[in-house]
Amino acid sequence: MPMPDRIFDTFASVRRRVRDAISSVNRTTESETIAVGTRLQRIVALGSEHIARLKSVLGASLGHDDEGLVASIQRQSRRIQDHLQEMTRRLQDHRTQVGAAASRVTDITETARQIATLNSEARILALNARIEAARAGEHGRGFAVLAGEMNRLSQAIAQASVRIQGLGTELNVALPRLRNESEALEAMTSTFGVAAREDIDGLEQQVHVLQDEVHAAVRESDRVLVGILDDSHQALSHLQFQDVCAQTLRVTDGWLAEGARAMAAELGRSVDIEPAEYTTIGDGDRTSVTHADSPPAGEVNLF
Amino acid sequence: MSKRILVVDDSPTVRQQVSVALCQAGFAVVEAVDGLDALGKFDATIAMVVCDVNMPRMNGIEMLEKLKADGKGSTTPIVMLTTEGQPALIDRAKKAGAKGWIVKPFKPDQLIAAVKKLTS
Repeated sequence: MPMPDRIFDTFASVRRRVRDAISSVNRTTESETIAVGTRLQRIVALGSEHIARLKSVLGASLGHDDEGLVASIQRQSRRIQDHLQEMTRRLQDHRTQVGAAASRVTDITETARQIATLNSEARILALNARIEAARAGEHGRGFAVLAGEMNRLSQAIAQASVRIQGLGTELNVALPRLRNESEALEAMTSTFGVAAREDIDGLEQQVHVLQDEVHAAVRESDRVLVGILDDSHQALSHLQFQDVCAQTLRVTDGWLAEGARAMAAELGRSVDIEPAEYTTIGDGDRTSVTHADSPPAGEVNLF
Repeated sequence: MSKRILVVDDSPTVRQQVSVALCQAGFAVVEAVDGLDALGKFDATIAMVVCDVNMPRMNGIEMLEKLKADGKGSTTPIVMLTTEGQPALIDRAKKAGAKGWIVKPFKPDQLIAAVKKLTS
């Protein structure tokens, strides 16, 4: 076989192996790039889902409306305050009424004492009446019976008077005690009201702090999501090297085919060149796309 | 409902990269592997077409001219996304009714911005 034919055969063999290698490299890089792209897509989807769930949970912890929770606490706080004020008012009324009752008891005791004094005078009168009845003899007998009844009635009044004074004394001991209890209860209610107000104020402050933290966490989540998206876009930009490389290798394959075709024509031989993969309309040269007046890569030109 | 974007490219990696970027921006993507495939998948629900130029069976410029000639895609914005950059080719696309030309490798943010602008 003449030397040009041997060179042609060797070139054709090399060309076939280069073509196979190009196909193999393109297939591998293509599948690997798609795998990376799929992972990237999954990372973004999982990140978005996680952040959405986080925001939902954080939102739920404060209710759908953060301001609503604070307003609710303030409403409940006002209600507790109103109840405490009403309780204090009623205790004050109670204390006043107990004071008035104590005063009336003193009046009753005094009146009972006056009754006892009058009663003792009535007894003396009854005694004198009996003496006078005895002096009157037979004529005074009916009067003596009346004087005896008066004496018995006077003794009953004296007993009742003593009982009333005793009850008055007991009440005079019990009522101040009741007033003291009422005052203590009033003071306790007032103290409780102040403590409740402080607790509620503290709770409101804690809710505000929690709100700030939740808002900060949501803002941070959004920032992270934007970061994930930015990084994914950067990664997508970098992944495009695969397509550029694949196109470059296909062009290189085209050059080799062109060489084989020219050599075959010179030698009057045929060559098994595969049909072109592309209906190339431009120069198809991915290695030299930058024409002097062509737009730069990545630039968006809207007409 | 998400706007549907028809992405036409013979490279599966480019289709995936464009799809990922557009889906993240809230668009729905329909993929086609070449011009002929795209003609079969094009319908009135497509809000925009992002199309490569050099592809097997039917290239992007032929597809663009066919869509505009048929009147099916007369109001649908079509943007070419290609490694080609010859001014003559860009002019031909412009005359055929393309709304934009992006030279690969594309920047996802800018592609998303262009798609949002043309579909708004």
